[in-house]
Amino acid sequence: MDRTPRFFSSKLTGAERRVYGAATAWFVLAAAAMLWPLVTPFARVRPLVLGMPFALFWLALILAVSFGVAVALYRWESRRGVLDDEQGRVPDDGRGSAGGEA
Amino acid sequence: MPAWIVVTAVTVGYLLVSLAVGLYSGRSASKGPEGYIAGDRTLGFLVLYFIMGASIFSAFAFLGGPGWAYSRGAAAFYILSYGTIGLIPWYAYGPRVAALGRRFGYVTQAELFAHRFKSHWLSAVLAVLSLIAFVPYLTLQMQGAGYVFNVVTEGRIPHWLGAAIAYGVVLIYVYASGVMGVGWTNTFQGVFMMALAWGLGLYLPYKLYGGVGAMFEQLAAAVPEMLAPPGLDAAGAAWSWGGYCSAIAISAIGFSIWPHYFMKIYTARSERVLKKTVIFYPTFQVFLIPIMFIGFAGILRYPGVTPSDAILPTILMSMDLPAFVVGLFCAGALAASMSTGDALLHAAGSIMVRDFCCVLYPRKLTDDEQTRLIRGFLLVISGVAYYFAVMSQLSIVQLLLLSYGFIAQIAPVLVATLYWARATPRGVLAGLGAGCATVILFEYVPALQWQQIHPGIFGVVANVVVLAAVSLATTPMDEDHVAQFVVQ
Repeated sequence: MDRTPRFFSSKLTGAERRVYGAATAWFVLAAAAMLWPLVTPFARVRPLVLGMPFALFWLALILAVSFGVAVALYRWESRRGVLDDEQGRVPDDGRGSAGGEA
Repeated sequence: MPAWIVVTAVTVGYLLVSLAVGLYSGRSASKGPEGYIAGDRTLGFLVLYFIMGASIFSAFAFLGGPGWAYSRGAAAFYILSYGTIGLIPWYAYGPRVAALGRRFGYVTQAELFAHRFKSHWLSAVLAVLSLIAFVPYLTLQMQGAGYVFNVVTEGRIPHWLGAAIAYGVVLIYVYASGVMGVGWTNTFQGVFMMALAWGLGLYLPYKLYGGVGAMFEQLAAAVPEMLAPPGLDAAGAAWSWGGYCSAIAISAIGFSIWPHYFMKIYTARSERVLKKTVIFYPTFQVFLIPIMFIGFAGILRYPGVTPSDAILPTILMSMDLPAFVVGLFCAGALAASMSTGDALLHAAGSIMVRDFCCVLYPRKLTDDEQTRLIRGFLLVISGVAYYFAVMSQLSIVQLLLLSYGFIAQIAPVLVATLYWARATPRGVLAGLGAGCATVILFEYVPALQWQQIHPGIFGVVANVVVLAAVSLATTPMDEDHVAQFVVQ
């Protein structure tokens, strides 16, 4: 049970805190960059980018970077071996025996 | 052969494939509620991805999305904005909820909250709240289906019959196959919709203007105010930043909380499946861009179309396209309506039985009885929605506006469940009550609608304040019990 919560947990290592903190910061920034007042400099028609009004391109860019950040986070977790496998089996990560039920 | 026969044949073909996929997919699931509602917690990435994608892209995507871009311009960008961040919270709390579900056997959202707060009342209140939000939403999907049938057959199939045919098919496969029927039909419907959206979204600007860039060049010269947020409001005047931003905020808060999405957390086979679904969701989201192109394409070439939701069918019917292509559109729009409607219907029946009947009934219902009862509710709920869709003169739009505000009130409950040990049952119930009351107050008292800010925002603020204050004023819950839920 205690394996699963990694975001916002008080029991993280320094590296974990940095990575989860950075990911959280990006998504907060992404949200802010789509809202007033941060969006106002980008809420414009020209220049057209890829044929789209600049404001639409701006939103598509945020969407694309957010996708990249999420993929990077997932790969980082995967490399550390903290995720279960596709069938839901939990890896033996030495963090205690409570993981058997997850 | 007359064109409308080809169109109808393509549409019927699509309905038959949906029906076959829906019926076939239910064979393997177990018969009890865990199989019927949560698919025995065995769903893989592909199906879960399409469930989330296709459930979200409702009739609104094919009719309302282009309609917004057509009549309100960049105001439609709000839909793209909230979807970018809306599902991300699942990455953080989804695996936790899934693990709790596996451990304690939850299949609905309210079961988690009711267990954490040891409150039957909370469960019953949330069930009623969900139903209030679901029925108008389902009604709109049915109206969309009837509308599409009516337009593309040039009036030969009336609204009531079109809605009945499409939702007859939905009812049969949800009734028989439960969540597995929803999942596999959504996979088929999702692929279909994606292909159609990209096809039409790129083809129409090309055909009408010579390309997407050329189209926006002309629009930028003629109606620049429509191309930059916050765009226009429903009356055609400039929309306020308050209205635009609060629409994004309330939708983003409520997005991952809608009970029919939330329940799908329990269906995931593993944490990896759940997280990959969140990560790849933007690949579905991006298909709103061509959808909006369709609406923008109508602005200069087809002025004055009312209602604005009719812009896509209007363009298509005026272009002398082969009947086969019009048939594909008809099927795609039905797919959008049905893939949302089936998830809503399935969730509504499941919630009424698990969170309302099971909790209030004095005896424990057996698995068999529960599944039978859910099926009974499917019939009743689709009947009610159908009545509103085709017979009632009552406007449900007002109810729909309220429902987004109501659903967002569940977000503080979730946060309290997983992240605040000090929250108490009374605090959560009082917060929910205060939040919903505030939403109603701000919706119906125009003087309070400062800066066109969505009533739901004020509701969430009231909810959080009351939840915290009442929780701190009441006795804390048993620590060992709470520790099972709250992230340490």
